[in-house]
Amino acid sequence: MVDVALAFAPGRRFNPWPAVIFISLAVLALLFLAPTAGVLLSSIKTTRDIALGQLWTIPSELFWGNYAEVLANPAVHRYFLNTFIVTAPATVASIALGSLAGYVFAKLPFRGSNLLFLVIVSGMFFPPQVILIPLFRLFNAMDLIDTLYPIIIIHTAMGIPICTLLMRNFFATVPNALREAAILEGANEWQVLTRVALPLSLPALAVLATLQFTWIWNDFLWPLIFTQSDEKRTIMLGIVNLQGQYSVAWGVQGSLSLIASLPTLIVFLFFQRYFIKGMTMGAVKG
Amino acid sequence: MEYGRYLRGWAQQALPRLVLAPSFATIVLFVYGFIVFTAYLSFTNSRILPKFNLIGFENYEKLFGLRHWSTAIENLVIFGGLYIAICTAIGLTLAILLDQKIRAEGVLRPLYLYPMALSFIVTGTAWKWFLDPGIGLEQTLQSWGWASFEFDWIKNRQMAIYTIVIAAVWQTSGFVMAIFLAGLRGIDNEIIKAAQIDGASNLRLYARIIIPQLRPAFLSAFVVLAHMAIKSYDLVVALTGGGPGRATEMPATFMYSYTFTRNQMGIGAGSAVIMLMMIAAVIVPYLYAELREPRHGR
Repeated sequence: MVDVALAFAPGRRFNPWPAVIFISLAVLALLFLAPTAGVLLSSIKTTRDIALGQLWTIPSELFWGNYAEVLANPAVHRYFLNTFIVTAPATVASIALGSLAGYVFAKLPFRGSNLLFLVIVSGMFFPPQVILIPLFRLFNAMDLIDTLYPIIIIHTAMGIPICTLLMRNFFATVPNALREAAILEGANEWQVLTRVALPLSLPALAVLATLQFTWIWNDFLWPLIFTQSDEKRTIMLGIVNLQGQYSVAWGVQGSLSLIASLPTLIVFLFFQRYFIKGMTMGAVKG
Repeated sequence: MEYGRYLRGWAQQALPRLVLAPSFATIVLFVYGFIVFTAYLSFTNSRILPKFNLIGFENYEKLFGLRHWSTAIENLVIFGGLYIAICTAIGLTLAILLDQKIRAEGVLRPLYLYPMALSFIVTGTAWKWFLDPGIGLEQTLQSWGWASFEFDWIKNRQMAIYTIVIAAVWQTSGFVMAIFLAGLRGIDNEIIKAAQIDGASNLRLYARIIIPQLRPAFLSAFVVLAHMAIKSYDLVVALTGGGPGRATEMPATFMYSYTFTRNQMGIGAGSAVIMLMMIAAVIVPYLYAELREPRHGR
């Protein structure tokens, strides 16, 4: 914490700075909220009202028809289910593999393990486009195109580098003495990991859970490549698809966008307080 | 007995390697192996299906002769440059302001960060309305009495690329703020106190001491943003669909359309390799600097 607020007030005179800073921050916050507020407003209005140029006004009465339309659409249920089927296992699997690898790199290094670490972590820098064609050919040859498996597999694989990096950095802050004490007590490596190291790493796990869940839930490119039928679409593809169907029904599009964002927003608001802490300790070298 | 101990010793030696094996194999195959595959395809005349006869640099010659590709590169330069500069400026400003022990930090901070939780598809949709002359900002300000107000960048071939900058900055600058805030919170307070006792003004304190200490945060932000800019695909699709016309074509949209809709896999693979080289030009110096410096703060 850089404590300069005090320095702004050398004497006891009236100090305007905290108020000025607070007001600038509040105005910026309003700008950040504006687009979402617009979508929210549109979602509670009739198409007619929006077409009449009333998109940005506060409606005199709330109209829930758009939400009813979206929630009653069986396609939307399927999109949600598919997205969940992809997101849950891929988030858990990538964090599990990353924790195992991170633990080895932090606590059980061996000759050459630094090089392996570099090879794995560098994997996060490559653009998806550069592996897209072979992946499509591979899953096509395995007859897995238009199933959800390729999306789960690729999100697990592409999540390993960031999970390994963050967990390695976090485990490195767990004192070696703790591990040695546990081993003297008769614990094996697995017990040290699950009973000592992981419970101490909850902030890092929270950051990773947020990042991976958000990233996979919101992804568009991989499902676009690997799925073809409407049956297998995930929610973000579904939004784009339904934009054709509801092309002028702005309100329906708005409510769908908000409903689709709700899971990630909830996860995010729940975990965001860990975020800065986790970043200070792990992802970004402090 | 002897044999049992030997086996245990071997297991203890081998265990770390065995645990790493699945992750390592996955990355080596899916990332490095497939990059080699893509690079190989870029030297073949593959169209709908991969072919394996080499034709030299023909695809790259074609690629750089295509007007779509030069538009995509120009757009990436404009978009990437502005996106990185503006996100860094806003992110740093927000972080410094939030770090002044202001009231209600806990309420304000999530308000800047939350766009990160939204997908580029949702962001693109929201901004498409906000920027639409018919129902968005232009229409609103006109109905509030500013009749001459015009804001139709999204429909304008010259200006449409800037709307992508606006939406992308909105989406990511909170994340950049988080990077800088983490950096600011990591600075040793003693240094700052010492400078204050020496009578350094706040401006000097920031210019001479605090901002130089944020160098790693600047680097991280730059790398993350450059990476996002080069591979950005969803936002373009949702906001402008590459249009009007082909005015907001980017390398990622080019790669997709040449590979999957125009069936020019060789050229598509070539464009992916160029994207990889652009990212490498950013990342390799960064990794080099990271690895050379002794790491601190852990």
